[in-house]
Amino acid sequence: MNKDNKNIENRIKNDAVGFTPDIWEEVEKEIKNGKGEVVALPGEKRKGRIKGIISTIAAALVLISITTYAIINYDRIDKKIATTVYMEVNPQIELSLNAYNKVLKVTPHNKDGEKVLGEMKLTDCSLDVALNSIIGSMYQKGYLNDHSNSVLLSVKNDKSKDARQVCYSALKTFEDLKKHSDVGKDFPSAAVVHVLDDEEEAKKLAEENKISVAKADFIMAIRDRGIKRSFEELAKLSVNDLNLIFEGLDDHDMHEYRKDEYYGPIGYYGKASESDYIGTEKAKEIALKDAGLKEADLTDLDVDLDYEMGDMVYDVEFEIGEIEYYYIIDAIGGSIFSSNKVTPNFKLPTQPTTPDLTYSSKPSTSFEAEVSSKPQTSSKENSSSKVNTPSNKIDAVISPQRAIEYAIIHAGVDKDEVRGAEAEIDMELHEKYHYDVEFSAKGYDYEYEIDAISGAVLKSEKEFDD
Amino acid sequence: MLTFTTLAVLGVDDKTLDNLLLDVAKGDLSAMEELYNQTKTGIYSFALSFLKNPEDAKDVLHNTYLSIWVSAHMYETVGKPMAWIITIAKNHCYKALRDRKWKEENEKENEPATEDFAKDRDIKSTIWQYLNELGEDERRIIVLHAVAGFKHREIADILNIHLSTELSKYRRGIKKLKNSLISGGAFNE
Repeated sequence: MNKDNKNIENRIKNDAVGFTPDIWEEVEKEIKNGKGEVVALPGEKRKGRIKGIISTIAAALVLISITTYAIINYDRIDKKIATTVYMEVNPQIELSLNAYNKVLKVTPHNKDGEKVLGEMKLTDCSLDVALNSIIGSMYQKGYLNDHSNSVLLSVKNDKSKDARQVCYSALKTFEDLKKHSDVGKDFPSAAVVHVLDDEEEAKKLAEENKISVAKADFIMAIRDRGIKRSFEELAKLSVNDLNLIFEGLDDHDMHEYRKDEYYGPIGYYGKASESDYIGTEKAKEIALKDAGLKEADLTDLDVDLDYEMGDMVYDVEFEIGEIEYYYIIDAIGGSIFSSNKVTPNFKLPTQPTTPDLTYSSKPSTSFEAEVSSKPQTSSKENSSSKVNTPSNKIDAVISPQRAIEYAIIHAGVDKDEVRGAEAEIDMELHEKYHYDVEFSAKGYDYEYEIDAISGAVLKSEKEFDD
Repeated sequence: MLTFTTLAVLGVDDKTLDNLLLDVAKGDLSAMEELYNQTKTGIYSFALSFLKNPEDAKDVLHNTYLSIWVSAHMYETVGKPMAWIITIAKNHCYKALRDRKWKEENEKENEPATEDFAKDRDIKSTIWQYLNELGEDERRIIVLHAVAGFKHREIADILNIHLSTELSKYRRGIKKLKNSLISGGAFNE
């Protein structure tokens, strides 16, 4: 969790400690007077003594039946595919496992997969042995190295609990591999595992984009979690680059594998290699130097790797007071593709046009966004992409409040019914400057993109607030 | 120096709570009191996030402990005692909402439920004012995470929503809180 979120949560917690009433005396008194109500929990029943005995007998009968079934059908269970593990580094391999996580079949899905498997006999091996062998082979043949160390696993089982168990076992294998084996000693590996929910959709997208099922599934998963890139753009990236983008998610930390703990559906171990790029520290240093600021003066700072129009870039965002800075830095060469400084010098009006926004004083003036454009071409060889930052200085964009009003008008809701309205300016390379507007009204959540210059609605979404 | 109650909020460990519940099931009142001290802030905050009314939340707090006292023998040790306790609290919250609705529909003169609990004189908290302005799920999720210490998947199970929905509502809620604090000049308090 980032520092700001942690601080916010601590404040909520500490204030709650302060205002929680102390009612122990009343509770104690009522307990002594024999009060209290059983509130039924889902699926719970009161068990009388006779019911308890009947339950015990029934359980014993069920156990005998299961054991008998298992003995009679062991051969059938043993050979039935219970779990499919789709694996990708660049070599693509599919492992079919039975209910006991023994390998029934291993299928390479590309030539690199065939090279990795070679003459290995993995049938009847346990999952961890199979993974050990495959990862070892990948290191030996150079598919995993200090530039690209990420392994992607997508796990399919009809029972999500069993799929999560397999994911956990796989992550544990990676942890053990690093600790106990020479392989991975110099190149710490990174693994991402995901419970595959929609195999059909993943296969369809994989085929359309000519990528593996594991990769298609992972791209769907990270887009669900907030990565705002099209599927087609992300499909062009390597597994390692996708893992780096995944690491940029705000809630990335909560998916980390910890001993005895895996909640799924997505989990990771280790860190993706960033050695092809300048690194987050360097990107931050470049941006701060350009802005003439020191990290200690900042009120907020965020650096993420991203992919924009064919370039891996670092998005560096920081704030000092109310001034916001947005930098986009070439992840390979370190040149500044774009820099923006947003200086709010407005006051919100005293007569609110939407509720829930607090207002302080004078009527609004225009909201200035000072844009300094430093168009650079990518320093990558053979890159056909051109950076296309706005070259004109923009004197004014509409105010956040105006953006909210345009969104509300478009939504066709009464402004008195609007709750939690907010607008945040978004300045991305190659895109129109726009506001991301969110609000709720009449049981629905609304999200808008409003053109920051003209106020036009660029995108709108509405979903039921469940 | 941290007070006992602050320590209690910082991370009640499941094993301790498990043992306390087992002792409560045997009728141990001192175990009940310790359980109360360790969990009251989490339960009250959750009830408040649900009902937005301090009096109703206090009633839920009260009723939850009475229910724990009589139901503790039904608790089965699965290592998630706080989830069991919060489920009881949640059921009392639903009951309170049904009672409130009945009152609003049937009583001729009744005071409307105070939904702006932040104006209650006992709750002086800027950040809880802003919490009040969030969506229902956003508020509950943040409180369960921040005060009761649940993990995201546990919260998704408690509220019966998908994990991905839970995560996106958490993210959105925290972001709104941060923006409210900044625009209210209270971010660095």
